[in-house]
Amino acid sequence: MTDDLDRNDLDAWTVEPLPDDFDARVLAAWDEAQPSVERRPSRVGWTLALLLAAAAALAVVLRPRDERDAEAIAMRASASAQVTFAPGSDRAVQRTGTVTYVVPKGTPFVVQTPAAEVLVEGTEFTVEMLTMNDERRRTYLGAGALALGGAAVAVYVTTGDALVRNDHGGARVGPTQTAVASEHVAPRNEPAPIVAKAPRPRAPTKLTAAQRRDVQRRLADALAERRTAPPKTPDEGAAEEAIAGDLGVLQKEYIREVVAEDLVPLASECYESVLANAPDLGGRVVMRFSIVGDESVGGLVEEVAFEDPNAPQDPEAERAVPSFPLAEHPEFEECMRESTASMLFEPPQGGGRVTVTYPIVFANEAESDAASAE
Amino acid sequence: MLRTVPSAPNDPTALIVAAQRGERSALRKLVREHQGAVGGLLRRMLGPVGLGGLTEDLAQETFLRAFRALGRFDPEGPARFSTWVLKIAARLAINELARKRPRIQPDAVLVDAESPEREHDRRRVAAAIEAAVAELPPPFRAAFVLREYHGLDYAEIAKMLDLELGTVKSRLSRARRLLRDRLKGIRS
Repeated sequence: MTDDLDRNDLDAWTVEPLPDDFDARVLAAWDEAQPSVERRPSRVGWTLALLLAAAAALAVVLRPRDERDAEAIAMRASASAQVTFAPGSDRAVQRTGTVTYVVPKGTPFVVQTPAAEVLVEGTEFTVEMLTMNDERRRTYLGAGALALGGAAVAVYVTTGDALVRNDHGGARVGPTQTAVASEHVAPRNEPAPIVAKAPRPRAPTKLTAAQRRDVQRRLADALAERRTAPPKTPDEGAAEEAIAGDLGVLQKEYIREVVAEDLVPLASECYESVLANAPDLGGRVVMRFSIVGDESVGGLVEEVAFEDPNAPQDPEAERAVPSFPLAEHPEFEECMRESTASMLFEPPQGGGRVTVTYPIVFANEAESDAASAE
Repeated sequence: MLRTVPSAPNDPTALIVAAQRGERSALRKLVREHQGAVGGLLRRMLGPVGLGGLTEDLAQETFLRAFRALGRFDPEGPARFSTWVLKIAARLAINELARKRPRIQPDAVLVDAESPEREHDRRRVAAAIEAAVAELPPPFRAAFVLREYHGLDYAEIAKMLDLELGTVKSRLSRARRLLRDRLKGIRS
């Protein structure tokens, strides 16, 4: 087979590797699956490694050194979290993942990470180790820190307060505040909670009605201003002509990306809501929408429409897909219309309007059914 | 007193034997050595179905099943551990793809202006291959990926997936034609 296919072509299809801590996850799950053995602390002291790798979060309760009057310390960890703690020392060492700790009042507790240590007493807080690709490294630590690499951490306090410190300095963090630090950068206090996954920098996925009205108003102003602007000088005209090849064009690949990230999750919800009453429902929906925009405002979706379901399909398509019966499911059509209108794009270069025709196939079936239906 | 942790052997047979004894360093080394192949096979077979952590979950399940069955694996026998663990992964993926689930597949996007010349050719080729592979029934999807990305021969694949050798050849030949047509289409 390789005789007929170009190896370079095949190598173009690359896939993302499994996460760096995958081996730790497997071993943790392996440990979990083993028959339980009562473990007792040795005289020398023992360290119980929590390699939390279950699909769901796991809650663990630790007992501090003095159990006479202190309450337990609770801990919830993400699947990728790797934490080691020594119950006798009121100290946990977190290397990866996200862990929320609830430390009762009167109980000093320290979480050590490769980037900084967190000192608390009577605090509920979340420690999230930031991966190398996490955009928050650049956003909150700057390009210099990004270039230096190394471990980075975000500490978000829900109630109480915490001191986050490393070799370069320290920052006190109050309720609903975040501290960000790396191996090479002193902790910085950020007033906003940033522990939740950061949105794409382009734009929020879904605007509120008020936000959308505001963007539309600013867009209308910008377009009106352009229309009433004085005629361009010859030089300006020439410059604009030079980019005429791209005028009004957004790359297909980019449109696909936005649809995949913004629309498909919402469309899934639309679809699943109608599947509840009609589990065999499916078919092809062809949407047509326009993107209008201005560099200073952004690109908005306008004029969402659904094409004639009986229109001929791409003759090169290997199998025709029946049309989705939109008329019988107006709630689905409305849901799709709203979801499509909520997408935000970069504005078409040089302003203008781009009309996009986007077919989407909805099917409730196994992959094997889909593949064998050729 | 500090306890020393044995390091995992480098010899493949000794490594399996150490893993069969339950030595963590050996188990860890087996995962590290084979997670690239297992992850690659699962990602290519599952495609968008594997997003959201399913690929990682199945990769983990692959190794757990391998560890549980490790006692029955003959390190001196003809089967390689690498092939054995890929077989487990392929079967898990085939079973997963047989499950019924809502599917949303954006089709070809049409833009009413000429597409820019600087399209990323490599990404288009990759997308064409991915789309062609997605049209294969799961067992043949596994066969294609095992052949093209893991270097297994037809006989190994047929045995691994319980398929007739001739069937593997004919279906992969069909897949090859489909893929060639797609690549021709994006380059014309």
